[in-house]
Amino acid sequence: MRAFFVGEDNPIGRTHPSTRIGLLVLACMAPLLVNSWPPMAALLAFYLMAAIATGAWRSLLRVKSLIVVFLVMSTGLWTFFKPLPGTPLLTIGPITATVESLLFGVAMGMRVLSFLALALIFLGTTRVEDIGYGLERLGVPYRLAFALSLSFRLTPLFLESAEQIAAAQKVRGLDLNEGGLVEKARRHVAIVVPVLISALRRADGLALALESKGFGAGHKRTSLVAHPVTRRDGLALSLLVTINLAALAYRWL
Amino acid sequence: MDEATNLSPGNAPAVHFENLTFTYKRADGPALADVNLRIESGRFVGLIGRNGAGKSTLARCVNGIVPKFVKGKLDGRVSVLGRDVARETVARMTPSVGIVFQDFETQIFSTGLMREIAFVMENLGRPRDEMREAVERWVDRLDLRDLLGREPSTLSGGQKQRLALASILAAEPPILVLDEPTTDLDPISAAELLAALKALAHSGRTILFITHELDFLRDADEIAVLDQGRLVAHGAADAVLGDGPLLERHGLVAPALSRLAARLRLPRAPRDVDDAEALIRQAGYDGHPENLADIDARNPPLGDTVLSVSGVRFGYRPEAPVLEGVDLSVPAGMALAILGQNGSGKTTLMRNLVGIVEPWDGEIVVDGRDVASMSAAQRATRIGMVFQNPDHQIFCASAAEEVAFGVRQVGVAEEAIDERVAEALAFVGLSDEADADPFSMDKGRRKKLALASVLACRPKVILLDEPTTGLDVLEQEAMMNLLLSLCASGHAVIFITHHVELAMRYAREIRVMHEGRLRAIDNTDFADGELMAATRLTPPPMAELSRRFGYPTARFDELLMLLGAEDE
Repeated sequence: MRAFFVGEDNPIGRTHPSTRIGLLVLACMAPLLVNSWPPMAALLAFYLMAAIATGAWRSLLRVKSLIVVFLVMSTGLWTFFKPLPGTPLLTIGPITATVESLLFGVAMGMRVLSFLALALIFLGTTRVEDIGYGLERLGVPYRLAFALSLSFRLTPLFLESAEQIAAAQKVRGLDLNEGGLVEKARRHVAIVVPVLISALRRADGLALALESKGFGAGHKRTSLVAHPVTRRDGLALSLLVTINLAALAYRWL
Repeated sequence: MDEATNLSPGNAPAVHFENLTFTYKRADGPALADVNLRIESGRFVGLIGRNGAGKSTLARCVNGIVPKFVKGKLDGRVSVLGRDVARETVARMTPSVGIVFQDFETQIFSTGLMREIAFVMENLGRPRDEMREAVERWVDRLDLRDLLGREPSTLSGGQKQRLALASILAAEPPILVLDEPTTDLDPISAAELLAALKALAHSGRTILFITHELDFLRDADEIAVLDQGRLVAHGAADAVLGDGPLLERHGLVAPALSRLAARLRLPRAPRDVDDAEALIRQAGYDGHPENLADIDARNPPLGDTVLSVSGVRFGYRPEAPVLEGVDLSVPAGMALAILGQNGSGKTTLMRNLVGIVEPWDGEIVVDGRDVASMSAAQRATRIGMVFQNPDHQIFCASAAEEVAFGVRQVGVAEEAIDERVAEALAFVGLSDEADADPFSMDKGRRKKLALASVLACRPKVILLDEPTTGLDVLEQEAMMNLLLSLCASGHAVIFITHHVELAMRYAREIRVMHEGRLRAIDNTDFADGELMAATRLTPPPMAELSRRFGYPTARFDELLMLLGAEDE
């Protein structure tokens, strides 16, 4: 997950972590309030601008094949399986796709893409420690907030040990690209077993490592990094509230 | 010395073990047996003993990890600054006790260095200004400033160990327990750590320091020796380190200068190299340089070049090259040690040599073939690498299967596999344990098993990344003697180590990784202060002493020959 982190020195990264969690929730709400393509396109355009401003667009580029799959699937499925009355476009067997259903499909595709962009912006601007901190400040108990962030924390370490293990087996002559499907699966055992054992050992040692570092000592926790709440936070939240109100207004009008 | 436990009576001792016995669940015997040890505040205490003697178990009793996280039966009492540890949680002991594990990687879980260092203080609710100041101070003391922008999981082993140390030391608790904290550190980093610890002891902190390298304990106040769970000696550091027979009885090896004094029958153990030189000259040893020829004759003959590396450049990111033109030529029969600062690229070089990563430029030829042109199986029969952590490769249910795995990958006929396996296990001395579960073996044997599984493919060139970390002195000697016998049978052996004395004792040639290149060094280079500072090496006492007498060697046995010591 750390792989998606791009930096905090940008308009979103400079907000308070709790604000960022609030922004994420509000930003995800807006696309759920509308289901026609013009407002969805406007929202997506706005989120893509945010992705550019924060640098998270690079992560989006890295998952571009995923994006294409999402768009094609979403558009295709909705077009054919949510037949809306209107101008006929194409008939396959009993199903008639209309221009309206195509546009609805496009809107749904953009909704999924919005969520993806928001997730990458959030992970791109927020360290896992700050996710925990932000949740805690919102009233989530610290232990729970920390546990939620723990899987994110351990991912890079886990990947690193998997990489080491794969290298060690390769040196012993293991070639993962050789052989048929069954043979390949069999060869992966040489990597999966040590990875699992090292992960289990790590999980086993985690609780005592954390407690040895005073986790759960019962003190009021402090934070090395200051997260001041500024006017920026109010502005950002107001902007997103406004966007949601606009989305609601569009829906009812 | 057994009675010397009461060194500073008065207030409650920093740590007090009373009649402490602990038996791990399902273990045959106790890991700790009736240990009574009283450690006063402000003392720097070394804790030594063979692997399996109970050092780590004792260390983990100080903050209650044993028995709270470890199944087993504990009798007796542990108190810290007058508090009964049994009545506290591990977390509540943190303001009093900081502990760095032998397996320090498990203690790192932040996404940034500064946050990792502050984590303990955050949990203890320290004010931000105080934390900032402490973090800055320890970033400098343990030389982490240049690494601040890095993600912890990308650090080298020694860099991670420094981070783990900083993350515990920064809170400056009154009691610090450090379980083999120098295993991955280059000599200067180790010296910096010791200086920082001494300063902490001076300010009233108590240090419990577990190590296999007795030279680090020269300035300790006291040393306690464990053997099979029993406290067998406890006294002033000088007295314990100077008592060769005591150390030997418990499977330990006295520091080189003390051993030298014993072999030369000097009147007492020297304090340092100056003292040793004076004592040796007083005793009338004038040297036998003619023995140099005998020494050269002892080395096995070297064969043809089996590994040739030229102009290798490599980095993990285009803007940050790690290797900037490595050249190396290694003949069969060679034992070559690679030293170098933490993060200098030693492991990265090995990863290039065995084809885990591909160099940007340059050529690596093993046994006449370009590494890049071979399949994984072809490479494995020519060049093998034993990783630092044996657990990164072990996955089979028995030792024999583990060794057979690699042999099968390289396409050895099924009927020949058993023979290869038996041969490799015999070579490392694990024949009797062919059916044993590798995960129940101790670390020394797991390392030997990892070596056997690489040897079974019969590579001409064998690379080892830190083959002796985590091993006690006798295990280290056993491992290094295995490597020398490989050389004698015509293999080329290249090993990475931070242990300069070990390199000088066992390697025929030494290279140091510096600024992305390999540089050959010999004993005269150890007098070059600038070079030593730049490469973060410190000459071991034997090298220094040998140079005083004008000899090129730094090996204990060779220096004895040159000085004309009588045989044992």
